[in-house]
Amino acid sequence: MAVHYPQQDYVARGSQTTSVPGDLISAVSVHGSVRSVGQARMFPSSIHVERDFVVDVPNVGVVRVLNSFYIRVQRVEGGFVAVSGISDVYELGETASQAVVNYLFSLVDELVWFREHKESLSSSMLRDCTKLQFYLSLV
Amino acid sequence: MGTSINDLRRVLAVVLGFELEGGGDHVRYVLRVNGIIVARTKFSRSWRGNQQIDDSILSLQAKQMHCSVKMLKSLLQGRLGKEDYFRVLLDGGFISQDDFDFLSR
Repeated sequence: MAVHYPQQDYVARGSQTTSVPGDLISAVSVHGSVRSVGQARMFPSSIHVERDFVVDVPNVGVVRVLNSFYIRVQRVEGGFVAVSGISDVYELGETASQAVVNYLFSLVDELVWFREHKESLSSSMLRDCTKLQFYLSLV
Repeated sequence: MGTSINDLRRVLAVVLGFELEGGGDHVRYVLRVNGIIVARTKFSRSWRGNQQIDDSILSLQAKQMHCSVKMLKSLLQGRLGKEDYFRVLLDGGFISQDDFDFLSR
């Protein structure tokens, strides 16, 4: 399934053995191992991203989830923001789904950026990189 | 009065000496000392033009920069300068004393 964005085409897919995700992130993946926790329309809300979920961003990279994590979505002025405990990046979106998709994209971008700059990272930045790599791996 | 993206860009690039990284879909500013990246901050890909940033987002931006939102606001208002920010990085263990001395010159 491809979701089109102004900047770039975006694809997310998941394990074929996992259940259909909740309605909140239906724009992300029909077959992905991502689901909302609790009532999806209540905010703040948490999205559970399960192990083996794959995020494929054309021309950027493909990432597989090694360890599950939660994305927290909450309302902000003009839309929604998505954050998690695995990285200090955040992403905005006009809708909750857009914020989650943008956030997943951003994590892929972050992992690729860490890989490209690994030789020039300070020790604290390397710790951030190691933390992210515990949860995500470039395929 | 709120904070605009251009205000944030100015503080990062002009006041603190972060470098804008080109390419890719994201805007990212990095702070280097002798070629080593000691801090970085990334803009949301949803940001367009010179839109306003509310406090909740400013707080997330400050977290990426390893400082409090109060400090970031003070930097934006010109009440604090680069040495104050680098002192926070030093105290937090994100840079060494040598890095601090280099950055504060």
